[in-house]
Amino acid sequence: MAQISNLSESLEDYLEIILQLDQEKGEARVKDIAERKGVRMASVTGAMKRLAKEKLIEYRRREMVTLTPEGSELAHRVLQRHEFITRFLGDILGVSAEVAERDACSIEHIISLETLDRLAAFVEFLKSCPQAGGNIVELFNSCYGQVLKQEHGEESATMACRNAQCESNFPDSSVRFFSSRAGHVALSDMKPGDRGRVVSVRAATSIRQRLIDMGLLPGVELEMLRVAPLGDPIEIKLKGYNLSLRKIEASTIAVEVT
Amino acid sequence: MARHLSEVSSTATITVALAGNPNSGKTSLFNRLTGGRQHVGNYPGVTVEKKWGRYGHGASQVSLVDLPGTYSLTAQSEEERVARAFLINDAPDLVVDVIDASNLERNFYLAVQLMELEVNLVIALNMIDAARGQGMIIDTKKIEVLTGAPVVETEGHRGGGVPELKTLIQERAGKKTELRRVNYGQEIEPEIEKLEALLEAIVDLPVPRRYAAIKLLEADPEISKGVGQNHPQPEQIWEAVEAARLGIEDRCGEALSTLIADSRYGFALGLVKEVLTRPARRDRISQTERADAILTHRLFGLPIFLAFMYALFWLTFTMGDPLMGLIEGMFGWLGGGITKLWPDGQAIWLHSLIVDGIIGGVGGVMVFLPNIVLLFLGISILEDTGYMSRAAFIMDRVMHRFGLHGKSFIPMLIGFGCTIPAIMATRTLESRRDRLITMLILPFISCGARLPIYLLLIPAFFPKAWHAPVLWGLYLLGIFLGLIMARVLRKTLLGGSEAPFVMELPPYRMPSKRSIFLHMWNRSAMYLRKAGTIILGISIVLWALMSFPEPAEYEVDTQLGQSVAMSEAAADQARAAEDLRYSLAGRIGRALEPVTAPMGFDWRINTAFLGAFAAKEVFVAQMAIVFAMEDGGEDSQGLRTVLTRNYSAAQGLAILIFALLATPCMATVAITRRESGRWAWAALQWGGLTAMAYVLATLTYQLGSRLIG
Repeated sequence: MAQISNLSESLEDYLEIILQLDQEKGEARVKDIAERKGVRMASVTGAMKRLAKEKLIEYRRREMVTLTPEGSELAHRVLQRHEFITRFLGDILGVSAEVAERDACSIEHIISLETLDRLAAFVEFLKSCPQAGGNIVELFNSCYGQVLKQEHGEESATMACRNAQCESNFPDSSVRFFSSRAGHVALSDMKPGDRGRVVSVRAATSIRQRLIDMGLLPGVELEMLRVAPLGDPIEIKLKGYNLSLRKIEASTIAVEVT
Repeated sequence: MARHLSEVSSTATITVALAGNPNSGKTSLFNRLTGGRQHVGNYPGVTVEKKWGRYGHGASQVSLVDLPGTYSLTAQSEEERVARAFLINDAPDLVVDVIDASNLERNFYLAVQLMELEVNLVIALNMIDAARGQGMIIDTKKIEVLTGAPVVETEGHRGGGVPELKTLIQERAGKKTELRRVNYGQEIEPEIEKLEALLEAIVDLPVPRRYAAIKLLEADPEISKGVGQNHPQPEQIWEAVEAARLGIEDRCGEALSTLIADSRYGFALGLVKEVLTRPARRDRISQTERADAILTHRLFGLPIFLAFMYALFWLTFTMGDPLMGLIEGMFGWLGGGITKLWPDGQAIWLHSLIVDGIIGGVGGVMVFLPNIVLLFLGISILEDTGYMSRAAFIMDRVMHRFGLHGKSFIPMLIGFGCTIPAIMATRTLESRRDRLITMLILPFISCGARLPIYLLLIPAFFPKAWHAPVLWGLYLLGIFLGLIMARVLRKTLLGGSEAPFVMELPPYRMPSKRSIFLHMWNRSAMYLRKAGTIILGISIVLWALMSFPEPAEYEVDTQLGQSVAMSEAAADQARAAEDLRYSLAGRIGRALEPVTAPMGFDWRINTAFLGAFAAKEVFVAQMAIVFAMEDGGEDSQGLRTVLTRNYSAAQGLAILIFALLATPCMATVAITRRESGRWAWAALQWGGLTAMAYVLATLTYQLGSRLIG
């Protein structure tokens, strides 16, 4: 599988951060890198040594990090990839900004160049397709939005949306093709009374440790109890006790409904 | 010398730390063990409360430290860092892990981490009665076998098992407990061993090597830092850790920290399966669930919450009224008695100091003690029943919107009593940003010390039907402005990520009278100490400011000399007024008049607010002194009559607004500085509030005097 670089996920992230800092502040210091990545300065030092060995950066003990021409090119590509995926998820698919950012962070490291190229071309095609015009993205989003609303209302085997240009019928299963297949839902989307088993916890490190300490581990059974009167946070029951957490954190927990 | 040494050893002090989950009944067990002999303070350099106490048992003295309640020791919050640092650095002789018997699994997750720290562990299986009440049968002996730690069953809130615990503490102190070891499985164990071997290079590692190795694999920032500083070749360690992590995560497809936590919970779950011979019936748990179905109901939850808050106000203010009258009468009687017994014309200044300065000042503050006691009675009940965390659950959406945490609600609620403990209560917040924002906006919440000002002024300027709405309105205005400022702070000075809201909702419990009383007592004593010492001192200083320098001769006498007709009493009043104008406080107040005129303040109000900087409640004492000199009215009603005569309603409202917002008291400034760590934050708080008060009070007076006159 062809990739942009043969660097590890973490090192690619470092390159991206160095470039971002360079663009924002005109310089990248170990301290700022550590802060942005949320790690100790010592770990940054380790990573910087690795990157310097690959001749991607110039790094001396004086704390300043500069990208070599090679490093700069690679960093730009890494950053472009990240921005492209975020835009695709957010602007085209209409995924919420937070989820788009988070998913982009994972997808960017595993997506192959071939898929990426095809995806970029597809986006260009959508934008320039003479028949549908530039607003096909808009049409898709309003259409899918209508369908999702129908889903919450009455039940029917097929859901449809109609507008001037097109009429799409989504068979029930294709509206949420993957999520219904997987049988997983985000904890934040569970209905009071639903029970399930935790599949994964994808929160940022510091939050994840907290959730884990409270017993929210893969395999743990839980029950959704209720949503707070004002709509957030939620209350769940696990390991014989009740826990409340905000929907934003709950959305990082995938649950297999039982 | 030798004799002295032997004496020391015969009454050796055993240091014992009390660890445990929040809501495990740890505090009531601590209260039972130490009785009233406890102290509350701070861990040095951090903002976590430290509670300690002592008791004697047989020949030994036991010094007991109540560690902050934590679910884990992964150093995610300041509480966890403090608890762990104490266990490592202070190396207590014994650690008692208080475990909620009705929730063994999650509680044992912490016990496992204490076992890994290889502390000298004793397990107190607390609230055993509640667990039995749920039909649970727990095999205590089996817990001892599976953990290696001695176990004692306790009922913290009733005191059951406490003598046995004391005996066990004495027996076990200084003896090393052989604890069982948690097995992390064939993937992780070899890596732990490798790291342990590498760690041999550090000579005096303060924690067990195995513990350090596990923590390195968990990427614990503090342990990693410590190892990095003390290891001759830290690169070796980082390489080994990184290699282990990559290898294990590749093979297991899960984050290493998750796998480690999973093993700990696995151990806890395995233990529970072994020792719990009959699990809980569902009835008591469902009692909590039934209660929550109503109390946190989508529609009824919020109105019920607001009703509880209203009830808290009602309890504090309506119930407090008759008691206030009683105390007021007592101080009046005391002052009157002294005046009657005082030899005529002798040391007039001393009489004035005692009656006006001391009795007037302290009495004016003490009168509101019933309010404070009742408020904290209500807050204790809310906390001990478990409703307080529901309040955070219900309010988080709103608080979050203003850049605060649901837990910020609790300090804000306490802020209604006194800003000082409220600022201290911000310690429940984990992120420094959340804590700072909450701390900075807390003075917007009307504290108990501002209540005297409201209670004095509102009846003086508003008809009876308006009393409650105006009071309620002042409180709401403060809350509203505080929330707006929180949002402003979040957007400007204190941007960035918030701590996650992950909070246990403990089962509802019947609070014990004892713990409510202790809680109430501690808080009230705090208020009283403040009233007793600071206020008394300041009252005297202020009395001096207002009494000196004395004018050499009076204008009145000149006028009398020019044969202006005037009664003797009126002449006395005029002399007293001149005394005040001539005094230092009067001069400062008058010098400020041009500045405060837009708010409708005269020099008397300025002088009173000068005192209120020292402590808000001094405003009332000060007004009493100011007008006592002019009029002799001492009780609230007399003072009110004078106020009504001297000021318009618009002025009254401007004073109320200014009292709500301006210049948090000296103690607030001092504690904000201490808790935030910087004078700059305290200065920002003080300056910002005063500026805002000035603008709003000016607006109120200018608009008010045009609309209502």
